[in-house]
Amino acid sequence: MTSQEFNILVGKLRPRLVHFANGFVKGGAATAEDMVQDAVIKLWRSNELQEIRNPEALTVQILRNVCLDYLKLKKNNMDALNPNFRIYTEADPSAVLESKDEMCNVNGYLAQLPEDQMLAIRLRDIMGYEMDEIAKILGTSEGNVRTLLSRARQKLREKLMSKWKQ
Amino acid sequence: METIDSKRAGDLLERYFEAETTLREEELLRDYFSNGDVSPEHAVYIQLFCAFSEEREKLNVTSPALPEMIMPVRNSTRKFHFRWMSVAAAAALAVFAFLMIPEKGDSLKLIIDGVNVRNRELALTKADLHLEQVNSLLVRFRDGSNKQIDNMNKIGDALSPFKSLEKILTQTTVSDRLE
Repeated sequence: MTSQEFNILVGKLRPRLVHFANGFVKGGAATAEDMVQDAVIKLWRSNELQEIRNPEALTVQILRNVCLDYLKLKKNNMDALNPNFRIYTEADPSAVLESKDEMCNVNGYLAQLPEDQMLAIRLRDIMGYEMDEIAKILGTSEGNVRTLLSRARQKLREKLMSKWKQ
Repeated sequence: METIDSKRAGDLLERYFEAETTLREEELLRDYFSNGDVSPEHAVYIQLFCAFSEEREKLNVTSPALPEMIMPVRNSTRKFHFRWMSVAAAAALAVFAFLMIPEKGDSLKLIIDGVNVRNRELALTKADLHLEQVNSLLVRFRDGSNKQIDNMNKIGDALSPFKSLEKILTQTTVSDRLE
C-alpha cells in the first residue's frame, strides 16, 4: 500500500473511527481525533501495513490501536478519567429530548462498565464485528470476548431492570 | 424482512445476554424492538436496543459507502505501470549511453577470455605475465637482428677484395689513357 492510497483510505475512514473513539473518550472531539491520529501513525510506522489490502482490514487495525492505547491510558490514569462523568436529568419535559435522554442513559451505563467490557459491547452491538474480529482488535481470545460480552450485557440488563422498577 | 414474535424474541434475548447470538440474530432483535410491537415483558429492553440502533445509524451516516473505497486499490495498478515505465526509460538510456560511448571506461577494464577480471592483484599479475612474454619476444627479435647485422658485415668483408680490385682497375685505366 503506497502512502497516497493509505492517505485516501484513512481520510475516508476517519469520520467513522473518530465517532467510534468519541463514544468512549471523554475529552471532546479533539481527544478522539488525537487518538485516531496516533493510531494511524502507529499503523503507518509498523510493518503490518504491508499485509493490508482492503479498507475493512485497515479499519480493524486502526481500531485495534485506538482500543489498546485507550486501555493502556486507562490503566495509567484511573483517577484522571473517571467514568462517572455524566449525570443525566431524568425529569426532562421535552418528548423530543426524551429518546435522546434514553440513549444517553444507555451510554452512561456503558461508560460505567469496565473498559474492556465497554469496548466489547461497542465493537459488537454498535460496530457489528464478529467475535474473532473483536478478539483480534482487543488482543485477546474469542472465548474471553464472549465472557466479556456476556458479563457486560448482564450488567446492562441489571441496570435497566433496577431503573424499570423505580 | 424477517420478523420475530415475542416468544422467539424471548429465546433470542436469553441467548443474547449469554453472548451466544449471531450478528444476524442480534439484527432481528434490534428490528423487533424498533418495530413498536413489543410484548410488555420485553419493554424494559427497548431503550437498550433502540440506543444501539441509533448509534449504528450515526456511524453509517458518518461513514461513506464502502464500494467507493475500492477506487484507490484499482488506481494502484496504473501507478504500478508508471513506475515500471520510468525503470524502462532509465534502462533504455543506459543502453543508449553504452552504445554511443563504448570506449569510455573500457581502458580501465581487464577482460580475459570474455571474463571481466575484478581482482586488482590478479589483474596486475596477469598484465605482468603478458608484458614479460612481449619482452622475451622483443629480446629474441633483437638477437635475430644482431645476427643479420653480423651477416651483413661478413658480406661486406667478403666484398672488400673486389673493392681493391676495382681500385687497381681504375688506376690501370687512368695510366693507359695518359700513355
